[in-house]
Amino acid sequence: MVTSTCKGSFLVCAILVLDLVLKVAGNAEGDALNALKSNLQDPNNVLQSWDATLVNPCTWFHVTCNSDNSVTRVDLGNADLSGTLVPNLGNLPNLQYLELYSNNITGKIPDELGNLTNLVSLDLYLNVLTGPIPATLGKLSNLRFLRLNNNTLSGGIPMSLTGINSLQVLDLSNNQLKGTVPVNGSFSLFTPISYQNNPGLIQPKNAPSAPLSPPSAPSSGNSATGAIAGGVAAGAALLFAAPAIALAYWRRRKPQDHFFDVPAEEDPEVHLGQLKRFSLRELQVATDNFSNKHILGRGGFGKVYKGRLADGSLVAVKRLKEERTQGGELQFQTEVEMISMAVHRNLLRLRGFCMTPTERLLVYPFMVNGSVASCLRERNESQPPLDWPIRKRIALGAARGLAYLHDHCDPKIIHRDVKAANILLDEEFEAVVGDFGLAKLMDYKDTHVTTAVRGTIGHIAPEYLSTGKSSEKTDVFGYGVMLLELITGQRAFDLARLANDDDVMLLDWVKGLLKDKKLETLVDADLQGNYNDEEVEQLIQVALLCTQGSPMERPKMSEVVRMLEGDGLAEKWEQWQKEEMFRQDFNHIHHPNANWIVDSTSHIQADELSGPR
Amino acid sequence: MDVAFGAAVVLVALAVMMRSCESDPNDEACLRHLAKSLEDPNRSLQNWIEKNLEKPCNDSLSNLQGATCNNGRILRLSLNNLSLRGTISPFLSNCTYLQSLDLSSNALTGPIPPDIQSLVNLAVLNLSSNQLQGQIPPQLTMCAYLNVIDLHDNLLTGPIPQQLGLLVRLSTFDVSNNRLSGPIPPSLSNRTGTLPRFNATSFLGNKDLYGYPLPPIKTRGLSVLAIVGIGLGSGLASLVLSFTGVCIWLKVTEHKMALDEGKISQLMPDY
Repeated sequence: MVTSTCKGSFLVCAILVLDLVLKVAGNAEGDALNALKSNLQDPNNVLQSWDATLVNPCTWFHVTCNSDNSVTRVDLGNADLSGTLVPNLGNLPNLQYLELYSNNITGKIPDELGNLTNLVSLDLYLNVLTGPIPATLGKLSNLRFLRLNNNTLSGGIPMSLTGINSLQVLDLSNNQLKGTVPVNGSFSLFTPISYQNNPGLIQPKNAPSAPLSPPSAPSSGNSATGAIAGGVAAGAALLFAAPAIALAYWRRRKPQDHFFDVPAEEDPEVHLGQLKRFSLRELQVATDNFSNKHILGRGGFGKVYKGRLADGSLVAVKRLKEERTQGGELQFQTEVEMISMAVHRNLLRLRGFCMTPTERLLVYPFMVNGSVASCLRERNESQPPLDWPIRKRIALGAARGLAYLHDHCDPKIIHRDVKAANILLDEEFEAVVGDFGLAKLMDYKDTHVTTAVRGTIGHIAPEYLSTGKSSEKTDVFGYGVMLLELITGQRAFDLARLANDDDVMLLDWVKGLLKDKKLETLVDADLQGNYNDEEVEQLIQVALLCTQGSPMERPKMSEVVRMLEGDGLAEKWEQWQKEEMFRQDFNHIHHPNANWIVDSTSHIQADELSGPR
Repeated sequence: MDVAFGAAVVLVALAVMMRSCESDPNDEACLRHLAKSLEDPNRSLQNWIEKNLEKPCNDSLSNLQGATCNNGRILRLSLNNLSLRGTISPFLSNCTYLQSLDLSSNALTGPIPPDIQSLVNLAVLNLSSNQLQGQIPPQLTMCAYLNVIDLHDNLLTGPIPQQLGLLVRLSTFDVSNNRLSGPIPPSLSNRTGTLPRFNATSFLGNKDLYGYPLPPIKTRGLSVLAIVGIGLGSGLASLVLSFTGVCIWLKVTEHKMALDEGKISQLMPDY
């Protein structure tokens, strides 16, 4: 009985022991935790319930299992435990939470913890752990919380940890870690608070830092769009404005052209009395663009072109060689206006003018028969010479024209260049005085250059030459010389006469011949003797009266007209003869070679001749 | 003196002790205001009660649902898919240790507070699937550690701040299905170096957003037609303007010239 009982109890005991041994031996998780327990000092008996004899650790305090009696949690935070961790912890394959924080655990973190592939939270913070962080922890692919802060861990942060994509909380602060903080992988989520108080840890250089002032750089897309739009708009605007600008430019350049292209009759302002203001183009067309073929002559004032206007009338266009001067336009217009006021049968009527910033043109009617000079000396073979009655008529006509200028114009106009070349002849060989008023017209330009004595050698009155002051009497002198030209057909100043040992100046030559009473050599050979001696003599007398040295002595043009009409010449002539006798004696003493005055003075500077104006 | 000094020492010690056991006052303010600004019709945040708000963190354990603590500070706040209403409190910026803010899949309204710029440790910002309005605050650039900006499915307007491209850690950026407009900053779509680039899926569903990786501007882009239009328009305008100007100018000069000639005629009698 006893033996049987004993046997029975032994069996039971044996079975029990075997079972226990088998159970515990078969439960590696319990073994692992038991090993941990045996490695830890537990002053508070927190692990009291950890009975190794139980079938599994699932009934132990601080241990949690899943439905398969497999350990998922070990919660031993704040348990005042000391000692070291054991490698057996790696034998808890379903462990998710290993909470051993706030203890006094020493030693290393076992590499085997890397086997806990289901681990979600590894909290070993606030212990006295030493050694490195095991690189095997990188295998914990489900780890979300890794808190190893407040230990004395050393070494570097294993790069393998950056491969834990699930990592949410990382705290490695307050350790003795060294090396560089990884920033790649899951570690990009973590900021310096995860690593603080590790004296040997270096933040990588490319660590992000908040920009002090986020640059508000304009988005390039917008600016490019704006640039394109702006460019296109500006370009198109310029392109489309070009015609308007061109129009404006063209009209500003030729404002006159614009204003006087319209038929002049329609615009009352264009009319200046009888004067027409021509457009430059009108005159360009009329003169074939100022072709050299159309040049009628070249004078001191510029070239004269023959032209045909649109209405078919022939004109002489005088193109003043004039540079533009400030304020000249108004003056030019007034001078032109003044000239146009002189309307007389024996005066060349000014038909019109043209004024542009670069051009000054005067338009006269074209005189078919040219000038007295050309008829006397440059006539064609076919052209008959001027006969005596015509010459008389010319003398009278020219005198009337000049008298009108002197006496009937307000202000009076002094011609200053009376000569045969300036007495033109119309269809009926009536004398037409041309070129008057131009001397004044040309003077306004400036005070230095062109205030020179205007005129032609041989026609210039001596007092005009010496003082530069002109008067009607200057014209009278010129007229006298012109009369001599008309009678003799000679030039007023002809160096050719030197060859014959004659006087260069027509006046002196005539005087010389008169002294010798050689009237027939004096009169133009072209007349072929068809003249009245008496009339020639009278005309010569008038000429001589007009060419007296003293301007005071010379008759006025109106008197000349009357003399030519047969009134008062005889008296004047007698008076002159008396005076001339006396004067010749006087001159012989003082001016033995008066004719050379011209030559010598002609080289004198203009300023010296005329003085400042 | 001695008594006063002693009292001061005691007070300081008390304060330190209080601090150590109390939660961070910043976090407290942060969560308190957040709890106020959020509406919780489904009573999902049942433990967001006064007692827990006073002490949101117990060392690394959180007393509040959705909050994750570490060392007594709020580290993560995940209140997604809780049918929350209301707005995001600007005082959220007091949670300075916050690394992750996830309020996605709720019914939040109002703007994204620019104050978020104070969350210098913020790495994850997920406000997707709400009804947030207003602009994306450019101040987000100040959160230099931002890895994730997920704002998709909201009612956000305005442009995408170009500065966001400066966030070197940005690996997820999603603003799809909003009402954003303007060009996509190349700093996001075509980032330099090894920085991750965001493809069209990040930007889809914004009607007025254009540029790579989305198709170029459709209505506002400069098509040939637009260029021709601009050119013709400005050209015609300038044509009209310039001719008007020239006409006026000519009138004026004509008048002046007329005056000048008038003067001449008036001067005439003086001669």
